[in-house]
Amino acid sequence: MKFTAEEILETFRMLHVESLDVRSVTLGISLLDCVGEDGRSTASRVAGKIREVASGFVGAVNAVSSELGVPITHRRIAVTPVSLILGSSPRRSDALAIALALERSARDAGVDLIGGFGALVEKGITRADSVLMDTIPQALCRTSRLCSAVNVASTRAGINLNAVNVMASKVKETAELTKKENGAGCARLSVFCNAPGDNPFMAGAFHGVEEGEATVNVAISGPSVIRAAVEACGGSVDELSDAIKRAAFKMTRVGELVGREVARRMGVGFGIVDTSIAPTTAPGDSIAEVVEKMGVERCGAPGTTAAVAMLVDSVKKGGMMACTRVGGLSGALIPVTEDGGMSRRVAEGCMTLEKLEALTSVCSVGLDMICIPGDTDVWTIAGMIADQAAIGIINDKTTSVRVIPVPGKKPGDTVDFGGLFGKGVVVEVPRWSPAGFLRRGGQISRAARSARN
Amino acid sequence: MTRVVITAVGTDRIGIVAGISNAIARAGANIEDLTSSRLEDKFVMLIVCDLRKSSFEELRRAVTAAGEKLGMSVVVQREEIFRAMHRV
Repeated sequence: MKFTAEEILETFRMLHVESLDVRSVTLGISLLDCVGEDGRSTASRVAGKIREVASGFVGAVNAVSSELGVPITHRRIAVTPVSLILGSSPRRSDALAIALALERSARDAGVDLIGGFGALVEKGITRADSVLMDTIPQALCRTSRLCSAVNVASTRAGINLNAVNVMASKVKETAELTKKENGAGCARLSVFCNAPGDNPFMAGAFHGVEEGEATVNVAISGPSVIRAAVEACGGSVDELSDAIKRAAFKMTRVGELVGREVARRMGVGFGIVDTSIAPTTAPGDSIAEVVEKMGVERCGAPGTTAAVAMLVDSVKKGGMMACTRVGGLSGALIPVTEDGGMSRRVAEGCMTLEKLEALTSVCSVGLDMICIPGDTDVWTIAGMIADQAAIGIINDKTTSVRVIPVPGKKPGDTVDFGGLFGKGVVVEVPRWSPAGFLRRGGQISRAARSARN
Repeated sequence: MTRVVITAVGTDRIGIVAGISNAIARAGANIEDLTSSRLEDKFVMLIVCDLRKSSFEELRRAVTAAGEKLGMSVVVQREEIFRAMHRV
């Protein structure tokens, strides 16, 4: 036989016992050619372009999923940051019209989320950027599929504190406007440092200006396959690393095959495979559980950072051996409410906000899907964003903040967003204010390590 | 696409090979290789088929229906996935 029985059975086991899947196939679409005379005409062109490019997208993904026998969990679209297409006289009504056009386009295309309602403001804020950021709370309140990502810092530009402060207030406003859903609008809003333009994960996905007309990017499977590999390995950390690398190699190869095949059928370019292991609310699909299978008694205990560093590095090594085009975030995502195991450890007090911040230094991607008290001060949220951005610029990596200041909730209260965004406990946030520092505004200049010319 | 791998998993009983291979023949696909194995306490039949005179969907429907009658779980996959996962 061309393949051994062991090989075929290993594939069967990974797919049907260990829940190997492809987490997301994300179609990036450039909207740079959609700028019209006003917001209405731009919105119309945006809808037309997405209809033209994405009409066969879900069908192609479903066919590839069926023929390869690989479940594909999400089909998504990412577009050019919308601040770039607001034209010469940007107004909030224009931005809102585009937001609603994106929402309708996502629904018509059959995708669950569409990303790109954002701006790149790490060095300066244009009039269009300002209008876009001001519109985010309304846009997220009036939609359910739209996602927003704003990049406020980069290693090369430094941290735009003015943008940090603006975005902190937008996080608060979004929570207030969506308070009936426990501030769930914030689950679709990420504030980034070093945001990549080929990230297939929401809420941070957008189609970078450096990208082509349309691109297919793929996010690989979740932690359950890695967990099974770790569980089966009783040896030293060297052997553990090898086991993780082997599993990551296979997961990445599946992701690449799916991405290339979908791109070929649609006649668009294949972009990258993002090797991030990203949890879901499904039992066993948890980064915390992987760490605990590695031997740390409870995720959050001393040793967790080392275990996560080794885990992420091994996944990267396996993934990069498997596929030349590795990109996006390619780390380990820890969206707390979406990771059942992590959420439990946060509720127990074993995993803390400070430990999550420490983990940012060894994996992507910052403080993600964390419920904080509804009365958390805007300056405190700005401080959290600035801290994450600082880790990002100094370590030349992507970081982000996606926190939900849940209206009316106090530390220890539980919040259930339902479905994809999961549930969690509101965590305590230090009450001492960074306002005096952040009110200074301005630009924390580029990291010295970025001056490499 | 010319080749697929069929994996049928279930409790061993009389007629599994006949039932599945009949369905493959009716769908117009040609069996190129066939072997059996075990997965824990289950019987596993592995078949490589050439699809040139059949369609993927037609074959998938035929063997899935045959598998259901035999109490077998049947998965049909293009061979590319095995090449991607198991060949460097």
